[in-house]
Amino acid sequence: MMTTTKRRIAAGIGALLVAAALGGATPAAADPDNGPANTPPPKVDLVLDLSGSMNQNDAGGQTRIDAAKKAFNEILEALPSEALVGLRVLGQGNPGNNKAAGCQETAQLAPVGKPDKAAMKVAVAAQRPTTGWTPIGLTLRKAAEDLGNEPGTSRRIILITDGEDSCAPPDPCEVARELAAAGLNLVVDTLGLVPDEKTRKQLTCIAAATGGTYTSANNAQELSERVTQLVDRAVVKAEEVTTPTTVKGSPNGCADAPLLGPGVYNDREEFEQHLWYRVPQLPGQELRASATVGIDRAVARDYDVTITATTEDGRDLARHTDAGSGRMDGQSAGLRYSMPAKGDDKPEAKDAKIVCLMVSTAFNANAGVPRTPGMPVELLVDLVAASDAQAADTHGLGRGWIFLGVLAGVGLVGGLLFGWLVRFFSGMRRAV
Amino acid sequence: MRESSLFRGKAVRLASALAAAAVLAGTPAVAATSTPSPNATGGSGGSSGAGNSSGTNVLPGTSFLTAGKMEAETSTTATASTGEYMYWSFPALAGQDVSAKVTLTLPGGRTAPTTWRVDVFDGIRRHQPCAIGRPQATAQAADAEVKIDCGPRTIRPWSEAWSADPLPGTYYVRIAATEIQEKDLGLKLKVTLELTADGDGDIGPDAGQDDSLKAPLVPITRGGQVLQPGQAAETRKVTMAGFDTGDDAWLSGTTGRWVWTAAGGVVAMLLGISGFMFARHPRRWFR
Repeated sequence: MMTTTKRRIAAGIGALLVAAALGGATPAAADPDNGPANTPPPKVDLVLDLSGSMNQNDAGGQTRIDAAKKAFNEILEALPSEALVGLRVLGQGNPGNNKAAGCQETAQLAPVGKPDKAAMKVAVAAQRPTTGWTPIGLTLRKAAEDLGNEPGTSRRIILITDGEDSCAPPDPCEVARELAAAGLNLVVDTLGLVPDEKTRKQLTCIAAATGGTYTSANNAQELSERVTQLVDRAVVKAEEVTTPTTVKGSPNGCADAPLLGPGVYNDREEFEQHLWYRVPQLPGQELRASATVGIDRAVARDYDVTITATTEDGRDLARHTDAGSGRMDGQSAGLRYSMPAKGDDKPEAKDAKIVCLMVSTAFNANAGVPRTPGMPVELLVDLVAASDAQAADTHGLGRGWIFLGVLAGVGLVGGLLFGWLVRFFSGMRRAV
Repeated sequence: MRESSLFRGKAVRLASALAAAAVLAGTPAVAATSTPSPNATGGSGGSSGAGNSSGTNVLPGTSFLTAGKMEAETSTTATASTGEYMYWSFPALAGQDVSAKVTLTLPGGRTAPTTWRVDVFDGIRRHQPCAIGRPQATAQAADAEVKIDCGPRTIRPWSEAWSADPLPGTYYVRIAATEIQEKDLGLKLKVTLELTADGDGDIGPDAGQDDSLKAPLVPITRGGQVLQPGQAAETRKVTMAGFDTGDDAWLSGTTGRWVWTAAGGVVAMLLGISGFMFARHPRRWFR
């Protein structure tokens, strides 16, 4: 009976996770000016821990299981056929005390692709939760492999576990940071079932390292609620997917920096590093650049980010520094620089001037905090119509209806007063 | 009086009628040239009641790129996890005083005080200081609710490129727990965000006419492309409901100012003469 219960809950979780995959599945709404027209559909790998006693707290919740099962069926039916979803489990075997074998226990139940709903349902239901090892680090690596490496795709792993990794090394958080830095646009959302302190620390570390979220659940109802919450949010997000392009800024200077067109980029920046990029700007264009440095590790309380635009020979064009403090997910700075139009001719590529962009930071951390890979940088480069850089001279002239009204009023009152004065004095003269 | 003899009969009436017409002409045109009000240009929002929810709740994103898209003057309620970073975005126009009012319904069973903060960013991710409101508050472990709010400065139609003044475009709201005990992470949190936008987007006749932003601060949302040497990218056309560059505004720029000033002088002269005629010979007007 207990085994059946566990299996059913596992199946329910699997289904909810599959639904989460919808998040990225709907094709991005194309916005002619802003939007990506042909972004590949995002991929999601759902990772379910079968190793532990994650259903322990669920004492005889038959109706909850039924509800989970019902949700499973509903969500699976509603899953759009273009969703790219995979399923992986870990700790599924029963190797007993053999750590070497137990720490290899991870298996792909369904490859990442258009889901075979019936097969996935059967595959999840067939899994038996065990009391084996928990190789989270290895599983994350395998899950990332499941998601492939073609560029321009956004990837998401949703990891549900009830216990911390029992197989380190590799440390799962280090693995997560490594994967996030590999330029795969990979995010890991974690959900802890009845998490203890160690599990919580590990899962929050994984989530922070990849820019994902951490959620906890303490019983079946909460689990259902929280996964539904993740699913709901993922589904809403589906219409707008931006996949940044990975680029490597030059730490040496502007001369050998990559040439960037408008768009969103990802990079990594180590402490004390300056990253340079070049943007060709035409007369009549305004360059807008923003940089967000993700805080994916424990850093000292105060920090700042500076973005600077200079000419190739080092003249300042614009700069912006912003400082932050405390626990935060990132620190941003942004600038604008307009290049005045030359005449009425449409500028050609040869008229472009190179603008050097530099992103620098002031982050500090304790000695134990890893320095490499660097912190994630999200860089936005945009070229729009130029605005006037300085206020126009008004030459002391006025404008507007109030201005006109005041002039008219003063004129009228002046005329009336003068008229009465004239009348008064001419009357006096006549009287004399 | 020699000057009074210059204008008689019909001439007097013509002059005063001209002056009156010049003044009257202004009245209806005020409405025509003012910046459109946000209510009229709210885009998909439709109905214009302040603070009304638009029906469906907009769920938060976890970064600038995935921010939940809202309209100004709407509100939303969502559940999230404590310690999560929540992002929403909304469009705002020049002349508006926008603000984000946040009510957090906190989970029970927390172990320590938590500090919550709301931040507002403009379209190029520049942090905007809160001119009004209390953006940060600490909830004690027993508190069931905490309220924070932030209203940046009035949005300007134009600013110098080097200044970080708020400009029309997309605005971001971020809600975060800046100090939280590790044990209190991941718990269920209910968030209510209410966006308000006071001011009708008309900040006077000078708004955006001498100087105006040619493209609102609406960020690009596509992946970038590395260029080859010698290549240059096209200018991106940026659009936003209700945004007016002021280029085609009636009598814009310095030329416009000359016209306004000269016209003002002519009107003043005509009205001055009419006033003089009226005061000097009132009986001629009531014959």
